[in-house]
Amino acid sequence: MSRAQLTSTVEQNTGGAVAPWVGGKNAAINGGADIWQRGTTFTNTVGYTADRWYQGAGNVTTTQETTLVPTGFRYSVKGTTTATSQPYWFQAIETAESQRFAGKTVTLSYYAATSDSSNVLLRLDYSTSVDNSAVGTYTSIGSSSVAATSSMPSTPQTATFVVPSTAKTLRIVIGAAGNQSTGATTTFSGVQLEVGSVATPFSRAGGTLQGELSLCQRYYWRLNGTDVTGSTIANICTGYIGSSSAISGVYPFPVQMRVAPSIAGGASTNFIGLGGGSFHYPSTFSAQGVSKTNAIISLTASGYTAYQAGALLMGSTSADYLEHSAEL
Amino acid sequence: MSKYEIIKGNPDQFTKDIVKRTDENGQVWFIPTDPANSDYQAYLATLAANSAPQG
Repeated sequence: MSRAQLTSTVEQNTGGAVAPWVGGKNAAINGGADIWQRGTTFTNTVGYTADRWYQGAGNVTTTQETTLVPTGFRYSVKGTTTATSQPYWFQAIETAESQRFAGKTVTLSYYAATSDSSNVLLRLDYSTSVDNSAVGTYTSIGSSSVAATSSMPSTPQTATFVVPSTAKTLRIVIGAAGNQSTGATTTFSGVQLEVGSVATPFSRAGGTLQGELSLCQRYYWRLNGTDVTGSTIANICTGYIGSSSAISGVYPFPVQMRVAPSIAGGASTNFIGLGGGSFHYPSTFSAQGVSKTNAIISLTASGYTAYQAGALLMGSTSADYLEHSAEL
Repeated sequence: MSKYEIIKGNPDQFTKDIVKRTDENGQVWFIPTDPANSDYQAYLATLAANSAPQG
């Protein structure tokens, strides 16, 4: 390594003269809690919350936090217990990304605060299965319980692990280190998993805000009715009317997804078919022909005139959305 | 508990089978029969568990 390279590396590690924001260094996607496609409040929810972060404990409400954030960050993830519980979030990292960590020393770091000043958890799991499900079976590589206070720290809590050479899927686990009483909170942001024994300054996995959104959309994206302006109806795509009872349309995804995704409308989404100059509803939604990059969706209702062009639409309330999941 | 059903594909329209999952909250998911899709993996696991011989 040349002196210039060495100097550059040292300066990056210390946040010195060379800008330390390096896309791809950090394997934790949405570590800065920038992206919340599913919403910003998840009441007593076991499941995905902020993009890529799955909250695993019962009796925990996860919300977007804008006040208790690390310096330089806009958002944190906050879990509030609604009964005695241990809030924890995890993120599975797909094999194509996990494999660069196999056999290496890695450092997990994040900024976390607990309202009761209880310790926080830094744990790293692995699986020898390719692209193991986030809720699948994992083996713990190691686990640290690190001190926290009710204020966001100025330097991150950190832990270092050695990843087995056989690891195919890694899973980050963070949150409270033990049970918290009702109403206690655990708040975090700035999660980073990187090669090496030292926590370097935080970088978004995607490098930029748009890069981070695109990375998140590789696993999940949502078309929201509320995104429309200037109309009370949101467009999905143009369509063709194949019979008197259905309109179908093909629409592209914003990015190529990890795998062909599962697709759903919201439980109360008001889908609308437009054909022959008339709205057709209530419309029953279905999906077919799903690939990593596009899908065919159909809306079934009566009264269409076959072999005309039309459009597939939905309402513009928060209940109106179309979601796509290719999570592990 | 979620309910599953197979929606048969239509060769005339070049579509393949797809799994329809109805969740307890009424939300309906359409899951492609892609072995790498984790929801499809969960469906196959449910199928295997339900067909396992009872002790």
